[in-house]
Amino acid sequence: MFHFPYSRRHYTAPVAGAPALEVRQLSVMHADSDSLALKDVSLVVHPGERAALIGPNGAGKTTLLKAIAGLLPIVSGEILIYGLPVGACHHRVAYLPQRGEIDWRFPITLRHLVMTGRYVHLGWLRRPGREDDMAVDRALTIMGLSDLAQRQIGQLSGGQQQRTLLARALAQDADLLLLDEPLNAIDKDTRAMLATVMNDLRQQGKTVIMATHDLSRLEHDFERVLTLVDGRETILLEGVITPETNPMPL
Amino acid sequence: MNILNDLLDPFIRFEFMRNSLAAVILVGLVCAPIGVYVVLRRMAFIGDALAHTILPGIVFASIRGLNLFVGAVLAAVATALGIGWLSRRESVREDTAIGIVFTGMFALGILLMSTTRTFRDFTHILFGNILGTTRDDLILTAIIAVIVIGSLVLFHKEFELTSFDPTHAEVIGLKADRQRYWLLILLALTVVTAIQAVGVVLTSAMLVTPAAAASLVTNRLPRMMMVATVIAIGSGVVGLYFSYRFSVASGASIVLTCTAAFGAAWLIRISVRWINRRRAA
Repeated sequence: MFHFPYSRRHYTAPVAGAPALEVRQLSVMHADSDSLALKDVSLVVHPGERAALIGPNGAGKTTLLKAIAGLLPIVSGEILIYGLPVGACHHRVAYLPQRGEIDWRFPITLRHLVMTGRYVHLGWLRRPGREDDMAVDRALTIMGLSDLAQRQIGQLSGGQQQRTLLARALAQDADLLLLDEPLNAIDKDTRAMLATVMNDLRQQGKTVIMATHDLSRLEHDFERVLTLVDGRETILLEGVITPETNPMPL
Repeated sequence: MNILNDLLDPFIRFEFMRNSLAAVILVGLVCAPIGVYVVLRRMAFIGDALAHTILPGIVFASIRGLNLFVGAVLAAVATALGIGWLSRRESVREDTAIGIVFTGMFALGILLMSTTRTFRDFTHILFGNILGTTRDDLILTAIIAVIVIGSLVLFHKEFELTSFDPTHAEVIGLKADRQRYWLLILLALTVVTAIQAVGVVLTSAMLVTPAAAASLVTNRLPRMMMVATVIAIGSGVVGLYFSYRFSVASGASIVLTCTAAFGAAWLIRISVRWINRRRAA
């Protein structure tokens, strides 16, 4: 079967033994000004870990996730994903944006949106096949969305939209999932579902980094906490969490 | 049978009517599907601008005795790329960039026109003259139709994804900007075909009105494109017939039929909502 990937590099094998994510001395500009949004950030996340990315608003959580997803240019420093530079292998990284970045009035169904998670595997000209259908159906079942599959995406509630985006990330079958505040404005059911899904992902050896404001279940749902503080100057607290080392006890 | 004969009579009798009929069908086929993107991506202003910026291209070609069509295509593509380039990284906001390029090019067209001392030659450019469609025009329109529709079909999933979620597109390595430039070029080609039907001033109607009407009656993209195409072709044929029967301007007649179709779609939407609300109550 032919395959014309969207970017020239594709399906590069990961470097054996490399961390899932390694960020070294990373600096990134703000998109709309000439100041630095991140300055000299370094961190490591190992395969199979769930890492929480916490910090006040404007600390650069979204910027960090976007830089890892290859959406922002790097000023200095280095990002390695499974030992390879950003963009070396697009199918390996899934990014779940904040809901506002999508035009929800667009005339497509929930199922179709989830299917766009498969596009990275299809590339130019190829249409989704049976394997893709199956991956999408699986993701819909996991997120409890099967009954809503034919809904237009604008007719979904906030929680359902969030689940749809998560289903797309699952359908993509990525190894590193970057979730940008998926807990914002969602219902309790979706929250519980997310925790289950993240646990399943860990058991499959997938790596999850989630920006969040919810500090109540850190030690429960995550193996590692990364703290971004104060926009530019960045201090990162890293480490396996226990209630004693929880950097922000409630 | 008599009514049918009556309806078909002008097309059987006159070659120019057959040419015009082929032209409106082609124009509808090209304009409607890409018009859906114009409406969904809120590019209506760009469509309008492209139509106006074509003027200097056409006038220049006409003065030099070159092919008008080619002049129009070159001017439109240059505009599309110019607007994209000016507004990259938001150094100038897109609507501002459009405003500058659009008025500047249109003024240039008028200026060139005034050097020829005869505005009358160009009225069909401004207001359209489908009845003057030649065989060569038809062939060029057909080629453009194949390019535009072919691109939209082959790269449907990429145009669709970059329209509603450019972020995801970028994450998987699909450049949303490149896709946008491409759409602008296709739009430029489309506008050139629409101009011969309805003229510079009314071209955005062919792009926007059928698509907007379709968006009122369905919320599935492929179906929206289908409905828009039916409305565009239907309006083209009906409008053409009216213009012949009552000897009125063809472009205006076609556009007003589109407008009426939009009105009908609006009524359908309102009635469906009303019925649904009744049922729910």
